[in-house]
Amino acid sequence: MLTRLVILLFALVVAATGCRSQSGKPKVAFVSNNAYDFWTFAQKGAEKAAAENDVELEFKKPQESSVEAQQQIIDSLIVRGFKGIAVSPNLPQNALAYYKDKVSSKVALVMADNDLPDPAARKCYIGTHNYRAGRSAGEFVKKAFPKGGKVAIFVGRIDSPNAVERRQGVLDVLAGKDLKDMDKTTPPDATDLDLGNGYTLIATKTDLGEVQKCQAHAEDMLVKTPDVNCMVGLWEYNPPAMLRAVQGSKNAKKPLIVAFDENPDTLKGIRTGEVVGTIVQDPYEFGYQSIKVLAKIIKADGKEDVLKNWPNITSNGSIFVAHQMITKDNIDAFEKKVKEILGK
Amino acid sequence: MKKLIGIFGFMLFLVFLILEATDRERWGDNLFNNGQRIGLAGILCIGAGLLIITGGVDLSIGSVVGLCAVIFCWLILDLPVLAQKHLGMDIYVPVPLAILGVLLSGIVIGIVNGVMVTYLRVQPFVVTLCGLFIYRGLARSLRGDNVPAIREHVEDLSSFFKGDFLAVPTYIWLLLVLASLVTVFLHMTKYGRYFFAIGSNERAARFSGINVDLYKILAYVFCSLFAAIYAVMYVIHYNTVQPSNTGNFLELYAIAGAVLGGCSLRGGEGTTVGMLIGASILVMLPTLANMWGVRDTLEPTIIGGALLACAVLDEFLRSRSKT
Repeated sequence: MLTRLVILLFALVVAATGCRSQSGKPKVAFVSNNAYDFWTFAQKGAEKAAAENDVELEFKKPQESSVEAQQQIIDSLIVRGFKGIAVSPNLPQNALAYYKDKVSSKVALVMADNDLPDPAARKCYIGTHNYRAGRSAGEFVKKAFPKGGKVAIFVGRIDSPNAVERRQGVLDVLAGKDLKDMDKTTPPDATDLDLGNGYTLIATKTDLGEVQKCQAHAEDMLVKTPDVNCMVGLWEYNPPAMLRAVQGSKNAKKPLIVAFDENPDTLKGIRTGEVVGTIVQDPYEFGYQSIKVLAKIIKADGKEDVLKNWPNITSNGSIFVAHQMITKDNIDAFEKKVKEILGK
Repeated sequence: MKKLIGIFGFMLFLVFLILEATDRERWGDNLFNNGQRIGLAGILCIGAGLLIITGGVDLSIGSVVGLCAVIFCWLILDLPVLAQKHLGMDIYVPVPLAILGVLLSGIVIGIVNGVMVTYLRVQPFVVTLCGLFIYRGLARSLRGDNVPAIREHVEDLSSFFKGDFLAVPTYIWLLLVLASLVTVFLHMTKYGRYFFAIGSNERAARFSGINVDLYKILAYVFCSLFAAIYAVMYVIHYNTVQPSNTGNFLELYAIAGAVLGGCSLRGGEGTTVGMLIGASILVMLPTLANMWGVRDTLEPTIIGGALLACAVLDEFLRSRSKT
């Protein structure tokens, strides 16, 4: 019995190693921070860039949204001889030393979607300007409730930089602060906070990425604070969960929703008028630009600074990919573009 | 039943606190929302409880939920496309057939887990811990991590289950039907008594002529079957599945609910009523935290502390009833 098991394991190992590609092209990888659908778009963009720039791509989506899972993948990519890695880091402020000491010294490192606190630790950052995206969401709230109102925010985790920045963007717009970049942060556990201009932040509810928990939070809020005017969902799955809670509520006056990302239910909510609008990022471009940058850096082999004249790069090495505000007016064109990317 | 007095009292106390923290005109809404959640959570707790009574444990419940939910969507959305592409056949998988497929998948998973534990004599903890990883991986691979657009296919069922009958949520009626069937099986048939006998003393049960391996496999099948039912109801209720995430940690909630409801992890003890009370407490604690406006950061501590207090109170009342 044991012998058979050993033979079976050996066969599996041989089969797995036999799957390795021997193309001879430089190898680059993209490591996302979780396995959500959002990254499917990034993968499509990365695949296109890999084909155009003649590099071999491996796209990794870790099961858990944790620092450990991500670092384990990156360590093995380095051992396997990858020349460049694009990463959407989990908890970048805590993992800075790892990226600085163990990754960027060995491979070309690009950050996508979430940046490291120290720009010197990576070649460049490619992603949304989350604070400005948050401000755009705040504009949606203002447009729907120009005279003020009660606002609640829903997100998976509030220790993620993109969540912090988006939330602050929303709150600063409502408070009437005209800023280009994030200044101070409002305490994450602030409740019933008077923001000024007639707006009140009821609470920021976190659900650790669990859809059912987000929906339960929204349902309970509709019972506890039935006069909530607007619910803002900062991560992709939040708005659909909030929408289901609103649809199931028996309240006479139902709140409107402001969303992030392009979940099909969110888009449907825009058509029915239950969702004011959604802020969409361009993950396809994150993937495309990241792999393109990595390919160019690897091919230059240190002989030239390819990022020096890269289009739209800022002084601290950030390449911001523009976000879009989707409403009833431009939803058709947007959905057409999404279908084209996914090849449907 | 005396053993349940402590947790039943705790449950009533929670209901009182929740209602006390809610405006009177919204009592109905709050109870309805909680009823829906209990209707769902109860399914998992019953499955886990049945297995725990035989002395088994299943750490893969959450991943089985994830896999079964993905299979449900795959059968409806992807199988027709694959059949057209590879066989040139136009097929349509109606939702009831897909549900049947999911329930069969649950049964197969239960058989696999059960056979590994009984015939291959691998520890249940190891088998189901490995299952936790294997089934999650399969869930993610089946549709390449893509979130399926399943809403329009289950919309009719969604509106049916979101409704009520005699002002009680449909989910609760479904749970009551399942719980009644399990109660009859567990407390009124000899097979149910075999479950308790195996959990109390497996060796004695074997010597008294009970086909222990068969009934242990059956317990694993029940557990995975209830996880499959939960998966179907999850898709119907939430209209979505995240292959990498759906069902995460549910095994812990299911086991906690069953144990809180009087199932002993050593086996041989438990009632369906207790499992339902355990599930209700697990659902109502986060609601109470929301009603009280407890900070999110503190919520897990409050819930864990309350569960611990409930367990201590229960043990205290039990020991008093013995003396």
